[in-house]
Amino acid sequence: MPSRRLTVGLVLITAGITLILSSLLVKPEHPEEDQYAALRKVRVDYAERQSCTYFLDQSILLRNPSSETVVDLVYVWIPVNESHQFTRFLSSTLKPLFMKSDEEVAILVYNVSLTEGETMWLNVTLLVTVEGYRLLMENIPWLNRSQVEESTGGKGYWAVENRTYILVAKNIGLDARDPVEACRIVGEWIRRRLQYDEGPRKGANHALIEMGGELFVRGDCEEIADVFVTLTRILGIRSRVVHGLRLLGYREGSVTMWIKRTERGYEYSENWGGHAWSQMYLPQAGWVDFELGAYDVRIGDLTPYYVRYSFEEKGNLGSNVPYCLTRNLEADLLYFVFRWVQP
Amino acid sequence: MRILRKTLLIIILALTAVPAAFLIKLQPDYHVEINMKTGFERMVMLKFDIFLKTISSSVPLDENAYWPVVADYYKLRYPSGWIEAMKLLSREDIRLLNCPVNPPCVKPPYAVNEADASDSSAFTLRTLGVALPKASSRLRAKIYESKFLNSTSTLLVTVMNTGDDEGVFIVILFEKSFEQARKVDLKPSENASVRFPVHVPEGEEVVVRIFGGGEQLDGCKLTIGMKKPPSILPLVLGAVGTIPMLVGTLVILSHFMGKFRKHASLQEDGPAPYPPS
Repeated sequence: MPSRRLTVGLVLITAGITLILSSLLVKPEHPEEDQYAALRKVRVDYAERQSCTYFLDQSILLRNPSSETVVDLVYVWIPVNESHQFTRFLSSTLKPLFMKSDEEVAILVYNVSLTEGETMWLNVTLLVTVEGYRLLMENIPWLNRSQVEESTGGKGYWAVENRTYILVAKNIGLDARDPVEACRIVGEWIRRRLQYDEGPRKGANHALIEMGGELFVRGDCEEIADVFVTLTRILGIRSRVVHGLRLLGYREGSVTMWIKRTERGYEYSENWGGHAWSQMYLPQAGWVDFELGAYDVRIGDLTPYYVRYSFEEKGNLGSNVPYCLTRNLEADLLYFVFRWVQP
Repeated sequence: MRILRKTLLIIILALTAVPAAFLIKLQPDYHVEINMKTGFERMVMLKFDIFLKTISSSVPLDENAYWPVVADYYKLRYPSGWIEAMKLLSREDIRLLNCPVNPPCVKPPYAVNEADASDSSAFTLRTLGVALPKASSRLRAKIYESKFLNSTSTLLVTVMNTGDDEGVFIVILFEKSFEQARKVDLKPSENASVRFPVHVPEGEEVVVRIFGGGEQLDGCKLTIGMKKPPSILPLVLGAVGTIPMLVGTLVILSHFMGKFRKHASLQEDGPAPYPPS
């Protein structure tokens, strides 16, 4: 039947057109674009940067305790130059013989001659700019093999071969995705177990104590820094200890602090800001400061009131910065006056 | 004894960045002497053997020439102390070619004050017919599992110490942009998992390797995520739709052809004859 054939043909054409049209309506799928590109991008951004410039007067009272004239070399530590700090020598009462400086320390060397019992003030004036900063860091890669092998070993104060520390590091830090997260975990671990106790530097080996089956970190800022460096180095993070001054007791645009040598030992001004903290090295960001707050862990977040005097990475001598060192003379009094330079 | 230990540690640090791996042997006649011929107080004199292979600062110049650098850590950290004199004695088959010092203005080998003492000295040694032994590692480890997490932005690698010795292993992730290494201490039969942030996009290949004692112990290649093949649904629908459309067209055409043919034959035959009466 011809009309039947027409109907069948029309139905087939309609069905065919419907299928072709629907094929055009289906969105062709291209190879999927990476939806998680943001989760893979290394990010190092400054969320905040604030610089402070100070005139720094370091005054040292030198004394010859012997009964004859002494000619001696006097070593004066000054704030060290690094990515967040810049120091410029302005003047001093004596002309320095030379300046010793490397990546870790900057020392002015003077030749001083004093007769029997004589005293003298050695004044050094410097211009120091310190940058406070807050870094935002994401997806930071771990160090490469040669950096891990060369720069994460132990030293006198950093007990990277201590079995307890290895076990702690394994338990808390191996699971960290990136070095910043590992440092945060280590910092939190120290903060929760800290028993603050001021005293001479003990080193990481003696800072860890066990009480009632639990581990604690006993000590002051130096032990915190040493334990942090020990644990992070076990985890393959390059880290070091910083010694410096924290500016406390701001009055009318200046901070004055002092150390006095007495027969009983040393006396310090109430606002004495001798401090130690740590830094971790990230190739993308350079040396990043780590500081333990009372309630938090701060990584890449430091105010411009921390003045760095020495870094301890390769060497392990000296439990702190002596600020002034002589062989045969005595440094009886050291004054540090920081005066803010108005912007 | 305390001063001896501290001095030994400084000597070790002067020669190596990895004190634990350093081999030093004090000779039986070592001694601490005060008021030596130079007249300095608190002078310490030590005699010791150093195993050249364990000097991490040693740079091999060629097959049998080495350049161990000795840094003065006294001078670096406490400038009022320094290594006053160094005397190098070696086996007959090791010859000292030269000894440049840093900074060049200093006056070794006997420095009577800090300014005269060198920060570091480099000894160029030629070892005639002596081959330094290659450290052989007995460490064994396997990559037990590698998987991507967090929408493939994290790689989790589980490694296992398959040897009989405890040791430090280094797990490395090689990406196009970064080489990342993680250090892990494992006892025999112990396993541990480490994580890495992944930086290359999906579809790229990364390589994971594990090293122990300076040797590669295991490795594997991984592809991040899986690329979806382009969808064939529109093509199939189009093809399937074309067939009924063609068939339908043919059917309609045949319908009209039949109709046309019938119409034409009617015209050719003329009017039907009347039946005979």
